[in-house]
Amino acid sequence: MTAGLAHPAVRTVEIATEADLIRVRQALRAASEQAGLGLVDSTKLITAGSELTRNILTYATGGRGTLSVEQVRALGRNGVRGTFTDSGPGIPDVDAALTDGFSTGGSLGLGLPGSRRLVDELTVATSPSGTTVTVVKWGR
Amino acid sequence: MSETLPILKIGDTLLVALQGDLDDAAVVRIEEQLTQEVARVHAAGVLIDVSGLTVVDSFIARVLARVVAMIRLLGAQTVVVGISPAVAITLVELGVPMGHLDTALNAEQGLALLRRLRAAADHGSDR
Amino acid sequence: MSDDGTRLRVLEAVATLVSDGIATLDPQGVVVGWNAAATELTGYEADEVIGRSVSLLYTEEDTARDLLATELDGSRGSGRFETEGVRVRKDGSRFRAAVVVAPLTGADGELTGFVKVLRDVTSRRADEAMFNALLESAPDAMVIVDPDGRITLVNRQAEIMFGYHREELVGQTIEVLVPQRLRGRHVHHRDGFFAAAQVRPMGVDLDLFGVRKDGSELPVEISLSPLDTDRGRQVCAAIRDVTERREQAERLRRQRDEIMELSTPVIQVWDRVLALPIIGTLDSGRAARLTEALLEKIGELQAEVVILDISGVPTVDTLVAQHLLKTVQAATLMGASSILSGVRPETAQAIVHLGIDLGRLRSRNTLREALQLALQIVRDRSSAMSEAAADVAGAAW
Repeated sequence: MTAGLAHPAVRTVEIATEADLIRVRQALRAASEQAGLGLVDSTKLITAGSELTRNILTYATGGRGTLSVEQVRALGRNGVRGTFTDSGPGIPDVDAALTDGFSTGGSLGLGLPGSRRLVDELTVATSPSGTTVTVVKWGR
Repeated sequence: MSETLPILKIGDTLLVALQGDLDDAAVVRIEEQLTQEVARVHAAGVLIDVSGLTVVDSFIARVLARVVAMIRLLGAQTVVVGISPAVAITLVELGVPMGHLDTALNAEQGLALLRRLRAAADHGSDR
Repeated sequence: MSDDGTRLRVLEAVATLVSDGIATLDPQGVVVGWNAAATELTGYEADEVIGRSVSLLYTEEDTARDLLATELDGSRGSGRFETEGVRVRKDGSRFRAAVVVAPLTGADGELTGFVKVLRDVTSRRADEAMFNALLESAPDAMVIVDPDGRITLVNRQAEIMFGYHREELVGQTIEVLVPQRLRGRHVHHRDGFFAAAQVRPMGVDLDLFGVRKDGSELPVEISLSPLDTDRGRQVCAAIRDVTERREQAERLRRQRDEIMELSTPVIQVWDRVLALPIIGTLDSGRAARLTEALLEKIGELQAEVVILDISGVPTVDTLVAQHLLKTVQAATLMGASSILSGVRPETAQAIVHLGIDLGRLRSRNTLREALQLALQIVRDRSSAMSEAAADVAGAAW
């Protein structure tokens, strides 16, 4: 029963302006290094985080949200979990939003489907009062 | 990246190296500076070295593609060099269409590719 | 019914016929009637208790907290008072009694006394005690849930496994033990199980997860069985932590992958030319690792051409083709050209029939032909390179 007990501090990053993109990437990079993720895996995670942050800046009410980053451990592997939360209008059709080419904001619509391909797990919980996207990237 | 971008000129070719963690404003500034410089010095080729970039997300990638298109309209060719394995895989998985980008492993091979591209452009074929 | 005396006699006649202990009491709780079943239950003969307070059956603690007043006032208030508790026999032994007290009223509605029914439920309690003992001694975490999904009972193992005290769990829905991301789906499955309950393992071949109080997750296996109780149908879930087993399976899988990777190394076949002979089937994990290995080598050796030899791949389906395409695209982004080799006629047919667009990817039938093409590409490039170098040198002057 040692799995999951090590729980280092959760880092939180406020997302409000484009400058916060840098802080999001730094937080994810630091957590990736701590979890011992390889260069390719951490680059994928950071890029996915960058895309999801852009989603918040574009779609969320007032373009504001929060990222919390923590280390996770399961099945003998270390990983990083990032939870992106906003209080925006929610995603009416999650399945569509996870499909390539779908976009409501005039961008390429790569945000969710692209990010999903870059991480090991991506889940979306959405309601008219906000959206939470959780991503996990495992080391090998 | 708030400072002006150092742009090197060798012959009729401009060399620019992108470094560090770029925010969106910095990326857009680079786009403007580079296109203005190409027009100002009548450059024939541009080499963009991205080996110093740790992350290239869809926004940065789209701006890169945009710069290349603008430079082509200004009558010059662009080659992007130094895309790292991690960035290359990430861009492919992310699904950013990068098919139109001419790339090379390093500056040396990039200059050679520029030369081939210019020869092809001068002869009217598309590559 | 003429008078109160007649009513009492009818009651006493009924009392002789039933198997529950029945005592009639005056308004103060003093015994005025005592049936045979009450004697059998308590050991007191009727003449031993008549005239004494019924509280002689109480334990010391219950007497101290004036249970008698509670029972009598309770029944007077609502017309009926039910309780369950320990009572003491004449010989001092104890039994567990289900007790009902009801008030008796006269013709004009004034209180004339009470009737008290006692039933021995010790044996039922013994069953429950045995059930609890079984539950506690089980090696698995056990959680019992009612049809609304609320937890009604958990054992010690469940407390240890999930990090909760049982008081924190009882009354909560079972989803408190399910990771957030799986909760919606779980409610759906749970309703389905109650609708058609039978003993079965849960989520056969699925990777199930539980979540502890601290938010950490653990892989679990769960077996469900329906329990029909006097409180309706409940479901007993036996939960086993399979962290160790999954870790072992994961280790085995990784070892197997490593062996597979050793069998498909990236080979430098010529200066600046790499070959990647792909042997066996390509799943997503393996394809990703092969691609990474190839790209690392491209960067390290500054290779300009890579040959992907697929003659060792048994079947090229959409998935394999997509992996190949991604590898080629990533290599192209780095600045390396790709050549596909070893494409058999049936593979070519499959690729075209599947509608897979490999773009401008060059392809050769054999590795030898692919190598010839690669060398030609390198030669063309190096001559362009020396000319370019001359240009730069000229410009520098």
